[in-house]
Amino acid sequence: MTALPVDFAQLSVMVVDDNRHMRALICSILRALSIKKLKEVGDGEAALEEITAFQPDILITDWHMEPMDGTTLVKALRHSSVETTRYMPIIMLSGHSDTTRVREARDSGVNDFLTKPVSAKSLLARLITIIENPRPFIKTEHYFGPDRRRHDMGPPHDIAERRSGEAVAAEEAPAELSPEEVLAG
Amino acid sequence: MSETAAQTITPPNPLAKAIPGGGPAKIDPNVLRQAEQAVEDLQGDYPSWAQKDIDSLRAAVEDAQKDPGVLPQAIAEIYKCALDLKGQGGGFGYDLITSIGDLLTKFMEEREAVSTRDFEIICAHVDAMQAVIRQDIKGDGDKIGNQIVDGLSELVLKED
Repeated sequence: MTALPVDFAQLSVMVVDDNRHMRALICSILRALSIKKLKEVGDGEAALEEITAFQPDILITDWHMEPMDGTTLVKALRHSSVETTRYMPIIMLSGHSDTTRVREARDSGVNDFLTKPVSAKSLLARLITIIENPRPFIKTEHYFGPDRRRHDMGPPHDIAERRSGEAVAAEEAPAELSPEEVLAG
Repeated sequence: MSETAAQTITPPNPLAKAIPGGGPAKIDPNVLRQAEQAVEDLQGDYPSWAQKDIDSLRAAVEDAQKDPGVLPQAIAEIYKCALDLKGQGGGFGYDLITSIGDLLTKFMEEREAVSTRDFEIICAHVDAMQAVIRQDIKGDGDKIGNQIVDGLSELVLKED
């Protein structure tokens, strides 16, 4: 079968960042990809207010925002009663690059994590990854979100409960990874 | 749910519509070029945007110095401004802003008090970012950039 170009024009994206310059950068990249259905909001609360009406295919969110930060937003979305919202692909952008923070973002339920500063190439690569490789979701007592093992980002905090689960008996990531390895995806 | 009951779910995929015919996909090379051009088109605006963030950063430092009562909020604001500058500089071609912002966020991380010496170190970072924008130093700044980063790193090391 002949490979056809990814048709970004089909997608809608919500960008959540409290810095309008950062939103301008991200939205400019997305518009250049031909994504026309875009919504910008300034924090997690505003995103929750708008998300049902806008129903984005992808959410791109900053971490450090007031009054509601990115990880709180992600957890709220993963607990949504609306199926499309609950399973929404989410990319988190952050100036934080240390392993602990990246794992915290992952454990909140993000699909992918991108360290700022963001380039067109790095954002495009993350979009392609989530478009081409949809990840199954895992539901445990303490976690609901994309399967964290897919990116080999280290053991999730509740790995013990997952070890004993039939569906998650296989691989286990190394205990410690450098930020680069964590982010390598 | 018991510990043994981890459940794997295959959710609906709203992104499949972006892959024509559902088959293998490729990236149109023009797409990346267009996206990179879009970023380049914004680079001319960045110095004025960064100046606003630097002004906010300096104002937060001055607030913290003037009024110990607002120190916790001022420290949070200094950290936030530094994180914004770190996160944006390189995206617009000003990698040295990202490097200095990185040093400052690390210096401010989990800081609850700020000594007179700490203020001097913070101000040195702010002044360095101001110099980068005023002199329009793009990229990593080559030799001057290395000197700035090394000098600031040394200041922080002396503090430790």
